[in-house]
Amino acid sequence: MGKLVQVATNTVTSAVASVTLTGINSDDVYMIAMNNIVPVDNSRNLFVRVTKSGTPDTTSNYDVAGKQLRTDTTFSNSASTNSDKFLIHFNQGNLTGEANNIIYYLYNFNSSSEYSFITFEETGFNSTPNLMGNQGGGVHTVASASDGVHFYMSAGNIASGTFTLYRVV
Amino acid sequence: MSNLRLINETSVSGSVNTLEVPYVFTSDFDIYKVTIKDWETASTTADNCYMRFIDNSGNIITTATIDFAGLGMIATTSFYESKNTNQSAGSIVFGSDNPEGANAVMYFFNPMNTNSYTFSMHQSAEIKNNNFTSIKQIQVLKQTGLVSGFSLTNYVSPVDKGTVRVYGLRVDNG
Repeated sequence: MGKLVQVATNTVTSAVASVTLTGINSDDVYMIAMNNIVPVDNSRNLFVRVTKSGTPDTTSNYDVAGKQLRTDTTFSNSASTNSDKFLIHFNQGNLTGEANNIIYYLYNFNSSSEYSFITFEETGFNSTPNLMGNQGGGVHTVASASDGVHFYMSAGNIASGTFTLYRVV
Repeated sequence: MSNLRLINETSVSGSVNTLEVPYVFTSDFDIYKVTIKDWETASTTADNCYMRFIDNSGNIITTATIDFAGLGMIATTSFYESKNTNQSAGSIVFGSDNPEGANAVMYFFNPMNTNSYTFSMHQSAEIKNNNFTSIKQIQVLKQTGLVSGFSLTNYVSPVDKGTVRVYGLRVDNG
């Protein structure tokens, strides 16, 4: 099994508006592991953008396709194109015990000539609350280098969570 | 040193229905990656394998507090959804028989965090009764107590082969 080399980490213990992980500077695959992510306000979406030279890219070039696994109803497709952010993590809960937990793999982020791709796996509680997790992938359709990932809630702050970027070698 | 730390390797010994992997989760890590390979029944009788959590005293947790949701992707027929709430046993990890067997990668989150439930997710690749299936599943133990490990159990057909490795994802702060 390959090695993981930590590149950046941020553990939120008091509310913050956003978390940015940067440091992608090689053509390796990168991984982001996240756990215990809770919004300050119940029922918030966790939004995601890639960063260019440390700044979140707000252009409408984010595509996602995933399958929402959930306990309360039939699984649904989760797809979007040309959004100004990755729409992946929905309706996050903040009641006792609830948290969101996510694994990303990042591909071609360092390339100036290829799009930035991600795969994602998620398990957490929505605000209903029900177990829910989106599984799939996404792409930022801009052929320029991305050096990191930016996370923020649809409204309000991030109450807790550990976000860690690793390089897979 | 890699931030992916091998914590434990446990292999099936003899012919058993349950393989317990206790005392592998500690306060040193919040996220664990688990690989399971070559999980095979002792006979040609196929069976499914389900997971349970183990508490900090080494006991299998049997209270009805497990929710799960999974997608079974079968090569030869329609995919199926599997979901339930408040179960005493966890989700099906995979099915297997002999000699093909099953393999999976799992993640566990927050097992030693008393402010969070313990979450898991896994993906498997298996052959059972000559049908290839991959299962993608998420799961939660709706308790905030300490969880030290997990168990894998075949319902009726014992296994005599299988290796489980547990890795911790190390986070270095500062």
